[in-house]
Amino acid sequence: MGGSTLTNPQWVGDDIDLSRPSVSRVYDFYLGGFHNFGPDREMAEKAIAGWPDLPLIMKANRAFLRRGVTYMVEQGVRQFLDIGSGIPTVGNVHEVAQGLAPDAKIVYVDNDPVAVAHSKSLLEGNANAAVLAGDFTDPQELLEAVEALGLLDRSQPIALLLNALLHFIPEEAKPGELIATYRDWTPPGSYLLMCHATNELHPSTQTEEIQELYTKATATMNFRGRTEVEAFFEGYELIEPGVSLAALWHPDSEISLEEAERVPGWAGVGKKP
Amino acid sequence: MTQKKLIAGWEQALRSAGDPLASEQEFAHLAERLTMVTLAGLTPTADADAAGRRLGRLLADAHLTAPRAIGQALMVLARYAPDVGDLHREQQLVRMQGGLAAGHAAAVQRRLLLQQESIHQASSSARDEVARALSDSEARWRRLVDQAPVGIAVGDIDGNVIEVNHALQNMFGLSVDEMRSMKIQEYIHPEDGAAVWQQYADTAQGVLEEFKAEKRFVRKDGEGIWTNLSVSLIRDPDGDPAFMVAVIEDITERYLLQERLQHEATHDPLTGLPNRVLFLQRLDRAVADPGPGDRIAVLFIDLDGFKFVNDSRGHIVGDRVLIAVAERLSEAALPSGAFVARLAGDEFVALLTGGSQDLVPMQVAEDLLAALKQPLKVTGQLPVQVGASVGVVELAAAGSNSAEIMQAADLALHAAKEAGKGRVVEHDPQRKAGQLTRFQVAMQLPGLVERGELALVYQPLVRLSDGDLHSVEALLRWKHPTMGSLSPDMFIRIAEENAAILPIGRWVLDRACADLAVSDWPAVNINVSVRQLYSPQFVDDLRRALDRAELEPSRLRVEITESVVMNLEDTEPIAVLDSMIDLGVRLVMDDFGTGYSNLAALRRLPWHELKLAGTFLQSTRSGRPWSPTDQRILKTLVDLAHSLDLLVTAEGVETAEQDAQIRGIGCDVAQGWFYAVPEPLHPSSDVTAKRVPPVTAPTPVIRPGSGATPNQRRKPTDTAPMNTIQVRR
Repeated sequence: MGGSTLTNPQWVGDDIDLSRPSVSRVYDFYLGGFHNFGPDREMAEKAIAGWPDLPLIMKANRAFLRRGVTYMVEQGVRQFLDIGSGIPTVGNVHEVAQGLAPDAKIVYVDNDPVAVAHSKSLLEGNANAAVLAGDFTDPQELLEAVEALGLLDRSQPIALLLNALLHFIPEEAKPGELIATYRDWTPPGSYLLMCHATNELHPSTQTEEIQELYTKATATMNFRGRTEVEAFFEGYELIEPGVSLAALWHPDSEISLEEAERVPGWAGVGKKP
Repeated sequence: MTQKKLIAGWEQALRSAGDPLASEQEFAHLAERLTMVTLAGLTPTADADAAGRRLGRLLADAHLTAPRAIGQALMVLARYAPDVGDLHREQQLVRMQGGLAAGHAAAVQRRLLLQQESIHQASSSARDEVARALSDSEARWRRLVDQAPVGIAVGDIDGNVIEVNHALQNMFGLSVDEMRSMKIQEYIHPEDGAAVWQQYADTAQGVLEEFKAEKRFVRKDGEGIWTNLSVSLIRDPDGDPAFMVAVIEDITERYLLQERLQHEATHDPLTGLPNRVLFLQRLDRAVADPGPGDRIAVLFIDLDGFKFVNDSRGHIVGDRVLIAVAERLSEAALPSGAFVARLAGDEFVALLTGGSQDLVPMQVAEDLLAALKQPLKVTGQLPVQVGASVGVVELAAAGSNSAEIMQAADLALHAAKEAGKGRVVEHDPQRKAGQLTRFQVAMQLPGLVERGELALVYQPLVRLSDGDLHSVEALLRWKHPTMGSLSPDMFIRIAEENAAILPIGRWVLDRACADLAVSDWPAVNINVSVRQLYSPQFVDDLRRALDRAELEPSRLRVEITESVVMNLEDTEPIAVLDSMIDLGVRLVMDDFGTGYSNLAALRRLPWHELKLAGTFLQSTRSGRPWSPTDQRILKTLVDLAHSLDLLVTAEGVETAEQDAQIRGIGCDVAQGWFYAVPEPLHPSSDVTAKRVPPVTAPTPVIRPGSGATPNQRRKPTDTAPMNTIQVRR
């Protein structure tokens, strides 16, 4: 299904460069996975050395995603478009969503061909989940591929999941306009979920080190403030408590602010009226 | 109590390194499960090692794979040791710890291997996808390139040919190997401009990114091809020139078509000579970019009597004559390098360029005329003799302009025609002001009759036996508002080329009849053009003119050039002549002796008279008498005419000697300045007097009021500015 889109020459290079750390495989390493290669681990270990909480932060991101998806399934959403889905490790959207509602449909999209190939093998036999190769910064082509797939029904609400993605999108790519394009594509009643790294809570030495490390990876790190993240929800009505620390968004149990601030990411879920 | 402590311990361990992805509920469930497995493993009969392995596996499955996780798990069990109670259970616990470590390590190892394998598989399948996509894409490109209708070649910057597509192989008639064995530089063509290879070198060096050129190649079979060549440079990742791609479009057919169209547009299809367009281009070029001291000469050549050939012997013969003339002129022009072209009809032109010493246009003109002296051989026909007149202009190339040069040559040609044909006349700038160009004439011809600019003068035909007036011949003049009186030579020929001759002819007929009616001339001779004989109205016009003037038809005499009638194959003009005879009009055969018609043909129509061609007298004009042979031939001609009951008129008699000669051969009637000049119906201020030119043979006519002697009066200047030239041809 997603295979043919791999031939898209617009963004697939001549070869897959495994010598460059891939943000999706580095993420997998943070989560305790073994879906990674030497250069990924090397970079992840360097990052953890400078910021030991990183695995915790990634896990917290993942936990936010689980809670957000759970919330939306409870609101009746049965369709999910997860862009920047990365290496499917654990607690994947389709596991969470289909665990709660077996008819839930999920389309994963990533620009990392290895992540896409891996997702493909993982999703084999799952008729309600699919993966596509695509680039968030090319909404038209991405959405055309999604429509061609025929899995999602545009007359029903669709949740757009941009978890830990937008901090890899630089300002030059005009992320606000990109989000608006995706928003306009979804019908009323659709949702946007987002979690975004920020440098507002931690010493600049730590965040700058991370930025420096990511300059060598497949995507750069672009920290943004709470206000900027809120602006990404233009055209959506934010679900309580609005854009908040990821750990504080609908937590399973009480959590201290101090504990929550260990995870420096702004998160939120919005509903398109 | 112990159970709760254990649960708390596992929760603590899970929380510090636990699976955050499951919900709190699942989280608690896992801690509880770990506690249950721990407790069950510590019972006396239980396999503690197995229980430990299970714990390790549960932790690993919960993504607690880091080395830290196993340490924390072992710590949970170690902290629980004081609570187990007996030695056996402590041993069990130790076994369980061992099992946990081994089980966790095994589970992590299994996961690691599985996940590594899976990510490797993923990366390799991703690579395969990319490779397949590339190969698909390459295959598509290869197909596209191979099937492209244009030739495509890839070469390196050292001039080696690397790839060529099918189209290019077909275009060059060479195989891939043959093409690869040749260096790019070997694809040179003798006609390549230096610019092409300079651009190629510049592109190979990266100075140019691409270039386009029209380039010729030679196929393997030796045939030349014309192409549009477009070469682009491909750089390597460092930006250095690496390859060159050539796209080659075969434009041979288009080129040849263009060439043909160009040739057709610039050449005369009949003779194959360059046409007016090409000639003017050459002239323009010679004028536009002259070298210092360069001179230009234009020779304007017009055939004498070609119209006559065309009319009398048909267009097919006329065309063949033109072809033969073109050949003669081209050949004759070769030594001088003159550029010969056909402008139109029987007008040819030659262009000479060069320094003043090399340029001998008058000599070239004489050579061209000489080339036409021998009769032209025309397939299936008797040889045809045509002469030509040449107008020559020569001037410095610098500062000239084509239009003026052509006009000057045209004027010179006119002068040559006036001077009596068969001549070469060089342009005299002084004459320019007093001349009309053909173009001007053609522009002014329409409306000539309506504007009242035509006039007739009459020249008496004198009966030699008694000096009485036999008839008068009506001669046409154009009273041009600025140029004065113009002879028919200036305009009749042009009028015949378009329909202007018909109204002019009709006017002549009406005027002559009307004038005859009010004069006491015995008769009037008029000249009729071939075109009129083909006009269906002509007989009606004739009848109406006679009726209106209330003339006896036999007083009207129509002069028709001998050869025109003799060679008429068409039935229309013959029918017209028959009708004229039926009317009672008399037929005079004009210019007898110039054509190839024979005397037997005289029987075809009931002629009344014939006029010997003026050319018979030409040899005597210079004072030389006829040779005895000439004399005998002419005498025989006249005798023959007499035997057919035809009167014989001699034209163009200018001297007493000529008068004596024509009498000698027995002519009946004579015409010429020696007897009388052409005059209008009312020649002097005395318009009321009907005046017959006094004729006293053999003494020349002396007009009253003129004190001139006969000899002085031979070349009259008051009636017309030029020779009396009759309306004919």
